[in-house]
Amino acid sequence: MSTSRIDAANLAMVGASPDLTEFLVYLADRPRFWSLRLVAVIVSDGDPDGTVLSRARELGVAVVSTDVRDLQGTPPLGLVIVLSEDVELIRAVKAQVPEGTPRMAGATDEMLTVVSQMARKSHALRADSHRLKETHLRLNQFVETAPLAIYLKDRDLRYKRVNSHALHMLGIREGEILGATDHAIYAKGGARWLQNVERETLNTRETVHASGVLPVQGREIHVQVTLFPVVEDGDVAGLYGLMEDTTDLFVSAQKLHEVDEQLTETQSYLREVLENSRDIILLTDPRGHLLSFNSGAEQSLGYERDDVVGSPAHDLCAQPQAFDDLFAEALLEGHANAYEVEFRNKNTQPVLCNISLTLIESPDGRPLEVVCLCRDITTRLRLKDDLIRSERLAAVGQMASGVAHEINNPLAVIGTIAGLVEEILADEGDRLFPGTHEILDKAMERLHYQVARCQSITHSLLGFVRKTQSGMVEMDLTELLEECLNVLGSEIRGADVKVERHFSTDLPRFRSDPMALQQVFVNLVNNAVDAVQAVPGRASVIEINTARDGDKISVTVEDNGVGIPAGDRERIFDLFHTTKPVGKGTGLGLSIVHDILYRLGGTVRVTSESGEWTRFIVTLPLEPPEEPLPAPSSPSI
Amino acid sequence: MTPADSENIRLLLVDDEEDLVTFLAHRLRKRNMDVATYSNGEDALAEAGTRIFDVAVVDLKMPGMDGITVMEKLKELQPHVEIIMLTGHGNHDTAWEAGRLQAFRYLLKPYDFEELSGFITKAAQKRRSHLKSEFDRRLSELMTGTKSPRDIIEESDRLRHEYEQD
Repeated sequence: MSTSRIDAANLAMVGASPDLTEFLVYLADRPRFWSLRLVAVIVSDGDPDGTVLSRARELGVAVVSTDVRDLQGTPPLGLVIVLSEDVELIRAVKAQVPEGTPRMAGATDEMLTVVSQMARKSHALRADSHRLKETHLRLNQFVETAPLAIYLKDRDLRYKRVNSHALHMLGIREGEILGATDHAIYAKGGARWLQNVERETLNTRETVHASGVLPVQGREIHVQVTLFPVVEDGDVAGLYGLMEDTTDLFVSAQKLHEVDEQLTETQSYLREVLENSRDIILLTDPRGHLLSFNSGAEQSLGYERDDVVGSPAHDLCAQPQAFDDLFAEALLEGHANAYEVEFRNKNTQPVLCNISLTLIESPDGRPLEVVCLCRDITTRLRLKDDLIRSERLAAVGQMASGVAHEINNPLAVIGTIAGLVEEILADEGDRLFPGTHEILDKAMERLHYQVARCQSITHSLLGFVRKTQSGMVEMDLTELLEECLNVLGSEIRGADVKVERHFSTDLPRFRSDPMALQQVFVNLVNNAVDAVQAVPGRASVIEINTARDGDKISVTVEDNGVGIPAGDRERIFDLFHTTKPVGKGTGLGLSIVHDILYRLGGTVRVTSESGEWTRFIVTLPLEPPEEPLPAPSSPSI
Repeated sequence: MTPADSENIRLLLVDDEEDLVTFLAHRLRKRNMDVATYSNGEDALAEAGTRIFDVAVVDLKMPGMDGITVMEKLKELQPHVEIIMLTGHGNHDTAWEAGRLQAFRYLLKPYDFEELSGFITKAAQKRRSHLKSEFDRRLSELMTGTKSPRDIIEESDRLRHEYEQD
């Protein structure tokens, strides 16, 4: 809008015809003319008493004058209406208003219509202008207060305008940035990506979103920008950029990512722990059906995961009802414990466990899962049994060896005297009554036999074994077993027993005490022969197995003889416990076996089915103990 | 074993079991051994200070001086004596001690009489042959030495006297 057009609203009325008042009133009554600035010049002849003039003042006419020359002092006029026929006056007007100012003569309806249209236009324009100003103001306000950096660049990417947020963000003063490019603001190359996307915006004339890092005052800020082109008259004149500092967001996202990673790591660690634990860890649903089965469980129980997942956990137990009771307690109380719960492995062998059940609930208290943590204590219990047995043997052995000590001396005296009597009999026996010599000879022979019998007991008791031991040497177990079977050759043949040898071929030579081990195996095989002889009418078989088992060698001696009643199995390694007829066994054999193996760092166990079979399981370490262990059953003699 | 082998063996028998020494000595004397019996170590050692023994049979566990000490002191008095240990109280440690003192044998009670008497005879033979070879060695040293004939004769007489006493 040009200034001249706006000024056209400045309307001058010249002349004093009676119509003037009427016209003024007409204009004043119509609000649509309110914006017209009226200048009234009332020439004297037309208003001798000044009534029109004062009327005009009442109506708010801006400049009221009776002198045509005052037109010169008014703002530029848009239109001059001359309401006079006076030629002189018309000429005077002509002389006062600038060239080209439209003039009208005679107030007609047509003229008023023109004026009113003009006034309306002017009003609308002013309203537009007002609105624009308002918008402009608000926009400026927005630009200044928005939490966004907003900038305008020209097509050479020089800053034309920036808002205060941008200045704050970039830490720069307005004077430093206006007219400058990014080269001057960011460290070298630091904002290349920004310039690239800005050029893209200029070239494509499209709004572009981008994000990146800007080096600002020695630190890096993460920003997101939206760029849109400024198009003027069909040409790209520059671009607006809206930039948001997302550093905090970025850092949070990064932290979130880290936490997330840690969480994943922890999860997999926990899974690993559960999975690889040597304890049995089972997970069941609230009905007690297995959800998971770790490798500890696989090892202890012998089942594969896929065999059992989905089936009830109590199937693994020897007494399912006991497990169910425990499970019910866990569901009710959240937790339940039990000691020495008997599980059954895949081969139906008992596996004794301490068990702990824990209920896992959802936040609203619904039962989700039950964790069953079971520790296999079978071995520990067995060790405990062994220890108890060893201690018991030690106590009994101590007493027994004390007794044996004291008996040996009188036995020696008896033996000596018996020998003396025999010698006297040999020299002087012919002086006795007939028959007395013979009976005394017989008596002396039995006396010697009984002394020898006592001696075998006391010497066994006193660790006769130990005195004769050959010490630790490299040895071959298979050879040793063959020797033992050789020694027992006549007994084995006499009892008509078939001996099955299942000797492993990959047994290494190892250090042990062959003399002592010979005692062990002769004892065990001898017992086996006795056991099968006690069952007449059955084809007698003794089976000897050897196998390497990690850092141990195991030997089993199994027979299909009378077996050992459950009640006796506990006690067979005890001193003087014998099931053999009087005169047949001393009750020392198995306690010596136990004693020897203990000293060599080995073990012996027995399993049996009464009336059916007996199996002795001997284990020997490939690496013997540095010092043979002190014997628990027969201490110092 | 012929009686001749055991003849005149000078035997020292030490055991606190009176019945044992009495009857054992009786039987050994029947084999013509020269047996001296003592029921404790102190008395036995006193005797050993005055006469030579070929073999000693010593009980290990006795009131007063124990068998090991008796053996040690006896060896100091008579380095050539052979010792047989006889005990009702055998264990690892005593067997080891017996080995250390170079006992001829280590026997557990109740013993076998024939075995014991055999060991005594063998021990005496061992002692004699040991002494003989030592005498021969010293005699040949003397002969091959640089001594005068007169010295040699004197020395060899002295040696013979020393070993004859044993």
